Amino acid sequence: MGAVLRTSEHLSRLAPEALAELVQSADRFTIRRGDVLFRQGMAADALYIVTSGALEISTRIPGDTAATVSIIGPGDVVGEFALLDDGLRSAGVKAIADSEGLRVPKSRFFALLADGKPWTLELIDALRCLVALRTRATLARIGAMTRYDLPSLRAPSQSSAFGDTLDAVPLFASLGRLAELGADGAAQLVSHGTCLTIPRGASVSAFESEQGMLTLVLRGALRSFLPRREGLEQVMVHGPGEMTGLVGLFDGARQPLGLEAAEETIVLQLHQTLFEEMRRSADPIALALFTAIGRQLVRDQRRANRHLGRAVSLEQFNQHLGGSAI
Amino acid sequence: MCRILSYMGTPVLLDHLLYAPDSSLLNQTTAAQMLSMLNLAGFGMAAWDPSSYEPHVPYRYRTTQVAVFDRNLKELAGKLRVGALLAHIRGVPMTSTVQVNEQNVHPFRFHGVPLAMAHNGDLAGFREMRFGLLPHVRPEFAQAISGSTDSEWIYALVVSALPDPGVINSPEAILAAIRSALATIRAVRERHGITRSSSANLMFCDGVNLVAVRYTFDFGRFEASQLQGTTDFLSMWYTFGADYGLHDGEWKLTGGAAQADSIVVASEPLTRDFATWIEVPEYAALVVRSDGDRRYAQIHALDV
Repeated sequence: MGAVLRTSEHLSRLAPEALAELVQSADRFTIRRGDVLFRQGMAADALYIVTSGALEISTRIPGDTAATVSIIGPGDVVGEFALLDDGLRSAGVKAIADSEGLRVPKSRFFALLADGKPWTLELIDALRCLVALRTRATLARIGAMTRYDLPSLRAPSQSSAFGDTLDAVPLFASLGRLAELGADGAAQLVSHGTCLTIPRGASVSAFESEQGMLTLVLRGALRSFLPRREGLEQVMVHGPGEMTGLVGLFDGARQPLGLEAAEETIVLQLHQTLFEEMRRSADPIALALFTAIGRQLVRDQRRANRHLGRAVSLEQFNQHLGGSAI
Repeated sequence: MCRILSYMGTPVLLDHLLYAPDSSLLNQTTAAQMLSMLNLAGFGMAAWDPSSYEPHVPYRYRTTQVAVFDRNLKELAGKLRVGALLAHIRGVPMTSTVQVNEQNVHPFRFHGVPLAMAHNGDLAGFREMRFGLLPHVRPEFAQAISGSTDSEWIYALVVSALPDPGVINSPEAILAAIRSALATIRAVRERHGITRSSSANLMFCDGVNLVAVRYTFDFGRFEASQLQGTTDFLSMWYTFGADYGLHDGEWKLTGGAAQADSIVVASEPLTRDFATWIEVPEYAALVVRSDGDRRYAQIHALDV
């Protein structure tokens, strides 16, 4: 079992001691071919790590059609959202071969995290990386689609100068998503970052930019987009308390989406070096920030999947008209 | 804030849309999933029954009664099969300054105008800005406004911008009128210095076309004192399929997207399981056009 985990694409970054503690703290699961591990829409109560066999991940789209997302095998992880947010299962999983592996119950994991077990910090960082990689893969699939609705595209943004924002700390008081940071956390982040006021319609960062910056929305909204030949395809809108730039920060590659201001927006930007310093820290403020980052990664992955599902299902819905447009 | 439901497709029993699902519109009166307030200030609907006398004219029902206690509505819902529906429950702040009366119950539909509209949201500073909207409202519609809501004024602006409000317009014409109304509101807001987040999530239906708008002016610019845990209450969802009914213990549309001819759009999913529901994007409209027995759906960006 340990050998499988050491060669796992997702878990090999954990130190050997951390892997050993993970194995010791987890339950074993076995599942027969054809049985369901969990269904889409169920409460998410555990993370699963496959050590042998094969599982099929599928999701349902409008019309109640099941679409296979992927087949996973030894070393792969599934159900990772359970340890990152409180949402329901976003996909269903069933065994297509007799399979077994490790089950990490959510309640036990958070008890050990609260006890400050170092391996829990390593594992949750690996899971955040995994979700970031999955979001990048989903966005790449969306970008590779050659058919898209022309009326849904937008005109490119006009670049504008940004203004400075003074005293951004009070703005944190209205951000329910970041309530765990508290006033001290807000003050610390503001003291290490740059606050900007961005006019509506201004470009914040280009598609595939190398920008290593965490951008936190304090007021207003940012739009992330994919460029198409005929205009911009909006993929997500980030409101107050949300963060952007996470995929590039976690995997170190170019940003998979461009960014512009959907409204006049006040943001706090934190540099990559600070992000890296806080990433595996057990400091309470870092833990609170990265808990919010974990939720944001899951939210973004859900949105990217919905965007993909929308595009695929609308194309099917309209196929009887042979692609004619309104 | 309110909750809205619209449907277009193969005729289905009204009860199955309003009452049956585990998070049906009427269940959302007291237990909405995405809005933590009670929606007690009235129920209204426009329902098109293709087998009825003058099928292009909807059956309209508006009441300030809390609809879950309304026996007449329950009896009616067990008899009426609708091919198109626009239904709304009204949620308002719990204060004596709010006017709860039939004139303020959605959906709005002026006499002689086929297009009906329901709204989820509110325009900040509406009392200051409304007379700035008046020059953009046709005189006959300005006279027809009988309630005190911002929603009825939005409706008046949209139908005023239609080339011929007295007929069923094309989806392009409806969308152009919506863009015109939103641009007018944006300009008047700017003139009055109103920058507070104001949502204009709108659903329009005339029995042939369904247009669902997800749009918020100054999205995310909330009052500093207003704690915003989420913005889910500003979302909008849809699902489609060929057969709406109880399948495997769950109310849903089945039959695959390729065979789909029916669509439900709502301010939140009608079931606790969101699996087959997809969000209408922010700053966009979902436009559904009837083409004989089939429907055609498309997302349009709203850059206003």
